[in-house]
Amino acid sequence: MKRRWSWIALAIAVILQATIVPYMSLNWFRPDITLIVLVYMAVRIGVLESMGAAFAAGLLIDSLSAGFMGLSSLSYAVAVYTAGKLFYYEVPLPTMRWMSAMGVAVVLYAVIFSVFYTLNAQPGIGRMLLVHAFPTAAYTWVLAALWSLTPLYERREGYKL
Amino acid sequence: MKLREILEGWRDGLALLLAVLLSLVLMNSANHPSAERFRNGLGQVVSVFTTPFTLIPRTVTVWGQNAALRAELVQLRGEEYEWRDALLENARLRKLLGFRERPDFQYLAGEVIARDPSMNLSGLLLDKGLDDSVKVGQAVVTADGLAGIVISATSGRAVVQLATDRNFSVSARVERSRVDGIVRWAGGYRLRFDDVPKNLDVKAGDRIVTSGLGGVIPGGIPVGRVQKVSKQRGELFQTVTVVPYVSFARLEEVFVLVPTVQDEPETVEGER
Repeated sequence: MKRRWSWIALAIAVILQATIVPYMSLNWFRPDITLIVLVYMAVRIGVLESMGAAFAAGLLIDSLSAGFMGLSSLSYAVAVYTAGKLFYYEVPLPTMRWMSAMGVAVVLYAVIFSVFYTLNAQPGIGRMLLVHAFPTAAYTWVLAALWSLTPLYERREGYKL
Repeated sequence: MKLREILEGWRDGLALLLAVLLSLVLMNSANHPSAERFRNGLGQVVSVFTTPFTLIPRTVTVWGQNAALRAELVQLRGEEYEWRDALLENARLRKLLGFRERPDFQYLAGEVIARDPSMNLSGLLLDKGLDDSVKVGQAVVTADGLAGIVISATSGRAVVQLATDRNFSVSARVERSRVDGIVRWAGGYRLRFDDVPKNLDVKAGDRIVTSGLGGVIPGGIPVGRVQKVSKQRGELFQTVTVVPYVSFARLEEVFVLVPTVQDEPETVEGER
């Protein structure tokens, strides 16, 4: 049941990302709700399945993009894998495990996406990260923090926010 | 330790490696026809689900837009009469000078059924495609100016590469001084006006419009306003930063410029 709802939530997140989320843009930056759902999946149902979901969601997102096919799937898969592992295993993270995992995920996603997106092209990686990727990552992280305060966020036994 | 146990221990890592390898293969085969077919097919499937969702924000904004558009229509009707005189005069003068006739363009309205959901807003999915005479390379505009170029089209869908894509480039010129250059993405919400030698006349506040060179995209479409011009010592070209007129984040309706007059091969007088 938990698994099925996670996949349904992911499908809705991808659709909203392409339709409604642009209306949430601040200046130029949009939050990435797909990434939030993917990291939540990694926390709830495990890293392996959520990584498969990340790869599939990335392909769907790339099919609507004018960029490279495979870029989002690569960035999502690595970000979700790392965030999921950090959440589950004995890593000296503070008590806010969810926020730490989310923070790692948004930064990794921003860096990997920017590195490949700006490969052999202008503008360079530095500008892409500063004026685009990191503000977007911060927006996503804040949204994930706000969401974890709502009743929708189901706290896992043994973990305290 | 058996091989199976080792593999189970490394299960997640191996899955990640597989995902990374597959992604890299896909990224390297971007221009392959089968990869393009895969992308188009996937895009069409996704667009079936995204289309109903685009109706929600559109319904919310349509009331306010309606009143504003009616007011603008009245004003534009008045201006149209003045422009029509100038247009006719221009056509007469071009004929007198023996200039080549420009192709006419039909403004084909298209609705955005999905935006690029990835971090960088670099593309749109439109509800018009090959069946509506939309072809690769055609310009996509809004009331504010140039939004992008069609880069891929199927029977009922088209993918638009926005000016904020890393591969976007269009031939443009400064409206005031007629200096030619190339417009490219500069990162974030800015464009660059490239390949302009330092001695040519470009100033902050100048309007950049398409030049029409190449004949696919008509000239005179507004692109943006020059924000900053900087000239570095030792460089051949000046660095020109442009703020685009189009607000890319909230595009809803766009127009594809479909040529109505096809270029015909020139005939030699003696062959008639």
